[in-house]
Amino acid sequence: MAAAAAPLRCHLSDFPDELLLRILSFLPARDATAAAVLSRRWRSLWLSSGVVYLDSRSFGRSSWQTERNLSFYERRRTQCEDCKGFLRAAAKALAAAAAAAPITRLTFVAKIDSLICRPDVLSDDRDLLAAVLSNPAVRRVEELHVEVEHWSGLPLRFASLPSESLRVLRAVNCSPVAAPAAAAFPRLAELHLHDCNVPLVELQPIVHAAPQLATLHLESCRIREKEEVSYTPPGMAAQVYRLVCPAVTALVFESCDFEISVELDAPRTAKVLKLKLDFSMDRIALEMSQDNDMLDGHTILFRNLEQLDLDAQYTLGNEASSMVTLESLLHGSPVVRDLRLKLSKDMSNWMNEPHSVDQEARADFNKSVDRFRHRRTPMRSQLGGEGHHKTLMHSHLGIEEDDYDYKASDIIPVLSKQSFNCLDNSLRRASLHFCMDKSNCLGVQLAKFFAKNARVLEEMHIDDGSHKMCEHMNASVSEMG
Amino acid sequence: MASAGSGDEKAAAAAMITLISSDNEKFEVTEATATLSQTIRHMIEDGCTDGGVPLPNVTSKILARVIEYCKKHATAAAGEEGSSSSFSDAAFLEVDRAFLEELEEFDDAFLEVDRATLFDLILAANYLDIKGLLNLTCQKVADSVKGKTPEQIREMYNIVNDLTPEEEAEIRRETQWAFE
Repeated sequence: MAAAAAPLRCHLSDFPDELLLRILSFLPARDATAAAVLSRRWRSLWLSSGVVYLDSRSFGRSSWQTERNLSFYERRRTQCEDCKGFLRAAAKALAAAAAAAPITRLTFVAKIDSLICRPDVLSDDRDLLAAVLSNPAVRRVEELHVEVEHWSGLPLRFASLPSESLRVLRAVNCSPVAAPAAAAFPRLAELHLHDCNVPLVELQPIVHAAPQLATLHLESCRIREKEEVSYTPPGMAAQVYRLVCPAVTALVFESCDFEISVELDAPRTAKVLKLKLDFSMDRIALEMSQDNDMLDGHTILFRNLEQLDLDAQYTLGNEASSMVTLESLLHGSPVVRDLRLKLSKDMSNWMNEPHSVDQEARADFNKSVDRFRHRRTPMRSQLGGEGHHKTLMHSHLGIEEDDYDYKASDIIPVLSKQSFNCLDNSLRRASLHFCMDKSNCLGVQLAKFFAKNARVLEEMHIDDGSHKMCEHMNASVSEMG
Repeated sequence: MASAGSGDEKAAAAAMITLISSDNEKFEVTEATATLSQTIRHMIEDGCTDGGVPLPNVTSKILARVIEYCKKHATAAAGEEGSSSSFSDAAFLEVDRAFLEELEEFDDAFLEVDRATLFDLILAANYLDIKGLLNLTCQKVADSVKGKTPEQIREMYNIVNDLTPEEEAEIRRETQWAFE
């Protein structure tokens, strides 16, 4: 009966080893050690896990409430005591775990206070992280997760990392610092940087030192040339930094803040390329160098690229130059199967507008949606060719630009007049996300362009924003051959 | 044929999957909800979901909770994939953030269950291979033992200490640093 079954179910001991190991992996080293004393089974699990989770936060004997009453000097001393205590405990935790099984996964979560008190505790200029990582027990770590609690700019010195064995590195709230030229990361395959300061002069040598690096994922990072902030007058993209990443097959720049222009030396063998950019597409420049292969007179940029995700902006009134970028990408990726485009308008000029403008825009949007619903013009007449349309309403965040003429042929002329290898032979799936504000906006035109020209297209997904438009627009278009 | 492919796609978007609990109760869920479970996703891919998916390891009470979780997180995934993040408009970002917060609150409230239910949820999440739910529930167990002594943990989770006093003393000596 249920009464008999319930207590049985209550035993953690009934769980398979893999579940208990998962639970162990969520425990900071100190608590995981307590688990090692529970029973024989827990003891052997703990010994075999090869996972260590060091959390300096659990070593704060002083909370901020008690610290508040302390003088600066006293507070400093308490922090240093905590820091020393943590280092001792970390060394013991690592030694104990390494004695049982090689440590393969290490998670290090640090509170910022405990990283500050360097000079008193640590010799030379090493920080707490480097001190922990210098332990011989971590030399065989394959997956390393380094996380600082708050934004700190804490240097993540690659020289201190277990270079021989490291396969996956995740860093949050740090600032990578390259190792000396001789260091190599022969197995490093994934590098994830979140909320990091990324000086490109540091990133480049790291990428060079990791010949197997397949995944480079930068999210919410501040990308600049050097560690010091250099001022560039607005509108002047004077500095260009060239980032070469020869082995990368998955490249993600998501919500990053580019302080300088970056020239990406394309990973020519990439199969997946994801770019999420906070700036206009026409600022992407594709290099057409001489040593690239050519196909029908067009430069091949990504010979093997199968999936291209591009999340970027376009400048209103300057769609054509964004489309030139798209054109080069399409020509340059002759075997792309899966194309995902997210297009939004470059709002940089509008971000400071008062909120009410925004609401007004929505009202306008609803109006235009209504017009769209009741439109008479057949869609196809708007695509390519000579179609010259006066838009019924062109409103962008409430600013009327009635005198703005839209020539459909202006927007995607480069695209509609030519043939693309990928559209003829490989593109199976196209996905478009855009903010629909008028019936022939860029997104709609692109949708029609793909529907008309992609000969082997099997699926098309269209998402035009969150305005319930899906009801009449979310269409799967098929068979355009 | 391309057209056939797209037809299937359309049908799939609206397709419902029937899940059958160990006590024979039937649950109708959308495919988007069901495929948060890798186990069910594989069944769908193999085309063996006609007539319902029997889940002999999961009771109706637990399955109902699991579905509740999947529904919420499937919407979240769709929102992420879809429109919300394609705007750089501050207002939309705000909506995004609000939604994430709501999701976090949902997770917190979802974990307000007794220990037996929590364990059943872990086992179900493991069986159904729902990574998010598995991590969420395992984290909850881990959190519950943080800062506890071995004695307290044994008592909490009915763990029988089969170490001899000598063995235990030796392990404690080795791991002294953790108990300082």
